[in-house]
Amino acid sequence: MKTINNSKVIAALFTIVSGNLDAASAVKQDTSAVKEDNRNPIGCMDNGYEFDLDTLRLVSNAVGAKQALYFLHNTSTTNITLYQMRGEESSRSMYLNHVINAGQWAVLSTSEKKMKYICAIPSAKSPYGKIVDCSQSLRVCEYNNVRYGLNNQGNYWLVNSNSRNGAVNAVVHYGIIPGV
Amino acid sequence: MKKILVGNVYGITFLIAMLMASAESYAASYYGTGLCAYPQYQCLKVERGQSWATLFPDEQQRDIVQRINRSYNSLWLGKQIAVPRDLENKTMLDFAPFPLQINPEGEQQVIVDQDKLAWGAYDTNGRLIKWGPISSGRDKCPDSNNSCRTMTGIFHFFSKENEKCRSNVFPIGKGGAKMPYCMYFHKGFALHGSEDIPGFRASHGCVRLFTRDALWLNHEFVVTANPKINFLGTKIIVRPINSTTSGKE
Repeated sequence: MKTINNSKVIAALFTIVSGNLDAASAVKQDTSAVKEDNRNPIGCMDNGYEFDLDTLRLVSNAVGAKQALYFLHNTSTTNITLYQMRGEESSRSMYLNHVINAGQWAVLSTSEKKMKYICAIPSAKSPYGKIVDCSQSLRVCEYNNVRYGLNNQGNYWLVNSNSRNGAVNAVVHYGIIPGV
Repeated sequence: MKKILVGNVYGITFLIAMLMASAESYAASYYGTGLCAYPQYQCLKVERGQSWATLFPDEQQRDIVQRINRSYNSLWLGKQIAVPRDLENKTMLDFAPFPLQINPEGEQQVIVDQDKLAWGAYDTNGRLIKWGPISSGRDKCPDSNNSCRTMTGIFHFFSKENEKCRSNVFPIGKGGAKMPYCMYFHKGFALHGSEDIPGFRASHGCVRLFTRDALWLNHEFVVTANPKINFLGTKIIVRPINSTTSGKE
């Protein structure tokens, strides 16, 4: 009787321990997936931008290129709104404002030499959100060797908000960077 | 000091941008019956047997009223339209939803404003030459899971075709939808003529124009890209949607 009880206890302990091991392995897998999503895509270089007084400046590093391609990762746990700033006013000016969901990537295609953005997070006090330091919430990289056709040039958000692989696949689908 | 000044300029521009976005969200009365509240306009209810031609026998006046109402579709009994109280000696530019003069930027441009449901063509001197109604992509299409909204951004026209232009996608599975005088600016997105301009955003993503406007743009204004001389094509700016009213039927 005692032996049966002991074996039951051992089985229960084994189940608990193995359950914990499974949980630990799942957590490890999740962490590695997050890490994977945090890294710049292959070929996307850590240049072509600078953080200045809480703002983000995009200054293409690609020599001679008319078009630049930027990947922006929202590393924070809240959505980030990017408000474009312009040095001069024009009635035709269009502000390429954008929202990147928490933990996701967006892709900006631009033919402007310089672009500047303010970052804001949602706030109950203002519909425009609360201005935050871009450098604390964004990871940015630029593809230096990009090839555009006549039909996909211009200033536009190519990927709104997606996982890293989803964003890369969308750009590959556009034919701007080659598929692996 | 210089840094502070530059910062101020950016700050002011940012504020203006936010104010513009705020103003746009209330931009419900640029066209159609939204104008009836203004003393310069009266609201007219269509009666039995009335049509655009019987209501406005003068072709130029008819054209102006159709532009103001962002539609030239057939009228029906009970339909309300906005009509200016004074149409004598007026041109379409008197009712333009865009500034008549802007800072010249040395190149021709087409502006597509999805809140105002209108396009405008500016010459190299920043002068508004012509404007007209549009119907751009609806929020949700019945035959697609994806949003049908028109791609927004700054693009250049890279290709155009004549009155025989047809879609190779829509209707889905068959293609063949008429897109007379199509002018492509990004992938499959184009400006083109259409007989159905209902006064709200109703397309699969293209920007529909009055066919006579598409003809004018195609023949008289839009120049497509020419890589041999390093020319990108006429610029087109498609403004994003800020208002919630432009997509409502």
